[in-house]
Amino acid sequence: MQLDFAAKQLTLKLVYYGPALSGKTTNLQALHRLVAPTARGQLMTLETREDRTLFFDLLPLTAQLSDALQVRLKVFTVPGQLVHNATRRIILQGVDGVAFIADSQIIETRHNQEAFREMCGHLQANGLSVEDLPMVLQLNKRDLPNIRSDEELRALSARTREPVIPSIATQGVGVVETLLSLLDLVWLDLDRKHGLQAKFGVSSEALLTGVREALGIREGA
Amino acid sequence: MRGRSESRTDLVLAELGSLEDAIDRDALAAVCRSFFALFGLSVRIVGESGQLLADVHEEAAICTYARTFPKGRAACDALTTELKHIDPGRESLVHPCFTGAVYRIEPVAYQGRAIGRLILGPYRRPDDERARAEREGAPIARLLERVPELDRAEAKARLRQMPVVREDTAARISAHLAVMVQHLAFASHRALLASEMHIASVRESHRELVAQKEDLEAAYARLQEADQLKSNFLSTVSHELRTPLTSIIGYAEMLRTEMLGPLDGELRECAQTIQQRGEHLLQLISRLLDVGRLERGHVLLERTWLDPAAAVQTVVEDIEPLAAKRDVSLALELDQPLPTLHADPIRLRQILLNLIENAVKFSHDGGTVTIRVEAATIEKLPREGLAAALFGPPTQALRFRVIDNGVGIPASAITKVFEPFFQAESGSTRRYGGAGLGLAIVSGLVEAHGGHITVQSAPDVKTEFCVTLPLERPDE
Ligand SMILES: Nc1ncnc2c1ncn2[C@@H]1O[C@H](COP(=O)(O)OP(=O)(O)OP(=O)(O)O)[C@@H](O)[C@H]1O
Ligand SMILES: Nc1nc2c(ncn2[C@@H]2O[C@H](COP(=O)(O)OP(=O)(O)O)[C@@H](O)[C@H]2O)c(=O)[nH]1
Ligand SMILES: [Mg+2]
Ligand SMILES: [Mg+2]
Repeated sequence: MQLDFAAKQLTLKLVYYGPALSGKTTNLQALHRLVAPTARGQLMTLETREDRTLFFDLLPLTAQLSDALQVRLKVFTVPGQLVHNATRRIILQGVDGVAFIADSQIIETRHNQEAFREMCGHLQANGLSVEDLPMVLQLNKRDLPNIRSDEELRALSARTREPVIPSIATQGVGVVETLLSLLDLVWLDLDRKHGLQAKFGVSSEALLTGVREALGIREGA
Repeated sequence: MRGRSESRTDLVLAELGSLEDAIDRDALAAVCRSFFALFGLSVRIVGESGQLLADVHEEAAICTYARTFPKGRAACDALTTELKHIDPGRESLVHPCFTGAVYRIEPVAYQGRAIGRLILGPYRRPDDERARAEREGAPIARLLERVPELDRAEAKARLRQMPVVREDTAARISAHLAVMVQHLAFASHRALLASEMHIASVRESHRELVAQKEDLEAAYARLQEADQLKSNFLSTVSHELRTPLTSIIGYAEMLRTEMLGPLDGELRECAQTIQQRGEHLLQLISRLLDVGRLERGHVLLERTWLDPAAAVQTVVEDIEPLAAKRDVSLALELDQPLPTLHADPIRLRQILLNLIENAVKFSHDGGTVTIRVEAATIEKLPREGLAAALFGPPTQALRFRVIDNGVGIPASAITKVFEPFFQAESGSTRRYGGAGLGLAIVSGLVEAHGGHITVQSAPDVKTEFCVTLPLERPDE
C-alpha cells in the first residue's frame, strides 16, 4: 500500500496467484475488457525477448472516487512455470491482498495444492502474515467437464473464511466479483491498521459502489 | 550512463519513477520531429520536474524579430522558463505569449499519475477566436508595450506568418501526442521492468541458494552436535542413570520378595519404598527423554489402524483403581459407530493416560471424570490447512474429550499448562505430585499426529481437555 496524501492517492497491490495455466492472465484480460477505458491502463505482459519466459502481467486501474480520493489498483499475476520461484516471491513483496486462482478441474487438484503451499511459504519468507492477509479463492474454468462440483464448492466455502468465487474467466464470469471481494477485504484490513475510513471519509460500501462506478464496469460483457 | 544500476522503478508497485528517467529520448525526439513535419507546430516535452526532454521547434519570424531587442529577448527567455514549470493539473490549459500567440500545455498521465507534460506552440488562434481575445486587449498594443522598440507594421506582418490553429484542433492534436508519449513511456517502462525483474530474480535466486547452503551447513552442524549430544547426554542418561537404577530396583525387589532370605515387616516396607521410588525415578527419566525428543521433533510414530474405543477402554480400566481410591467415578461415552484411527497405539495410550490421570488427580473427592469419544471433521481451516482442502474432502477426525469438575485451572495459567515443568499452583507439586511434564508430552504427541489440543476451564465447575486427531495425516 502506498498513501500519497498530497495527491490524495491510495495505491494498492493485488496479486493473482495460482498454478500455471489456471487463468490468471485471462482474468486480467477480462478485467481490461470490462473496465471503462478512462479507468484502465494498458495491460502489460512482461516477457524477455530471448526465451519468452514470463515475469508477470500488470493491469493498472484507477478509480477517481471523489475529489478527496483516488484509488489506484495494481493488479499483478505471477508466472506459472516452476523455474520462476524467485520471481513469484519478489512479486508477493508488499502485497495487500491475494486472489488465489484455482483450476476447477479435478486433475488439477495437486497443482492447486502445491501452488497454495508454495505461496504460503513465500508470504512467510516476505514477512507477511499468512493467516491475516486478505484473500479470496477463485475456482476458475467452471465451463469445463470433470470439474469440482458445485456441491464441493459449497462445502469448501462453508469450511473456509475466504470468499469462494466460481468463475469462467474466458467469458468474464466471476471476474469482477473476484476483484471487488478482494478489494473489500483489503480495504477493511487497511482500515483496521491505518484508519482509512476516518482519513478519507469513505465507508467500505461507499468504496465498493464508488469503485464499481468509477471503473464503469459492465458485468458479463 | 549511470555509474551503478540504481533502481529507477519501484519494483514492489512496479511504478514508473519519472518520464525523464525512463523514456528513450531518441524515440521521443523522433516522434516530435514527425509531429512537427506533419503539423508545422513546435513542441517541447518536459518531465514532472520541468526538465526538457525533447524540443523540436523552428523560431517563429516574430520571435526572431522580438529577440533582436534586449527587452524582447528577456521577455522571451522568461516565458520559455515559465512554460516549463506550469503544472496544468489534470486538464490541459492555454497559456498566452506576450506576442499575442498562445501555447497549449497538455499533461501526460501514466497509470493514474502525472509523469510530465507537453508544450505545443506558439500558434495563433483563428480570427474569430482572436477577435474575442482582442476584446480583452489588442495583442499588438500589448506587444508594443512590452517591447516599445518594435516597428508596428513589421511586427504585424511577422505575426501573421505564425501558424493558425483552431482551439479544438489544437486540443485534439495535443491529446493525440500525449497518448503517443504514454505509449513510449509504456514501452520504456516495460523494458525497464523486464530488466530489473530479471536482475532481481537472479539476485533472489542467488540469495535463496546461499540461504539454502547456510541452512544445510547449519543443519549439518546441528546434526553433528545432536549426534554428540546423543552419544553424550542420551547414553549418559540411559546408561549411567538407568543401568544402576535398574539394579537398585532389582535388588530392592529381591529383598522385598525375600529371595535373599526372610525380612521382618519394617525392613520389607523399606525395600518396597526403595523399589517404588526407584520405579518412579525411572519413569521420570524416560519422560524427560520424551520431552527432549518431542521438542526436537525426533519422535518416530509407528502407526497402525486401531479401534479408538478399545484404546480408551483399556486406559480407563487401568486408572479405575486410582480413581476408586479418591471415590472419583469414571464415565465413558462412546459415539456409535466410531471410525478407525491411524495412530501410534503406544503414543495414543500415553496421551489418554496423561489426560485422564490429570483429571482424576485434580478432581475433588467424589467427583466425576467423563471421557467422550466422537467422530468429527476438522472444520474452520487455518490458511496453512487450506492447501489440503483445495480441494480434497474435509479432514475426517476423531475427538477425545476429558472432562472433570475438579479444582480447574485459573485463567492466568491456562495458556501455560502445555509448557514443560509448568504447574498451576507452585505449591501443588507437594499437594498433587508430578513434574509438570505430562501435558508437554501430550501436546507434542498430538502435534506429531497432525492433531490439535485445546483446554477450557471453569474452576470447580468444568475443566475440559479436547484432543482432535485426523483419522489420517492430511499429507498421507
Ligand atoms: N484436569 C486438570 N484440572 C486442573 N488442572 C490441571 C488439569 N490438568 C492439568 N492441570 C494443570 O496443568 C499442570 C500441568 O499438567 P501436567 O500434566 O503437565 O503436569 P503434572 O500433572 O503436574 O505432572 P506430571 O504430569 O508430570 O506428573 C498441572 O500441574 C495442573 O496445574
Ligand atoms: N475453458 C476455460 N478455459 C480457460 C478459462 N480461463 C482460462 N482458460 C484457458 O486456460 C489457458 C491458460 O490461461 P492463462 O490465463 O494464460 O493462465 P495463467 O498461466 O494462469 O496466466 C488459456 O488457454 C485460457 O484460455 C475458463 O474459465 N474456461
Ligand atoms: Mg499467465
Ligand atoms: Mg499430569
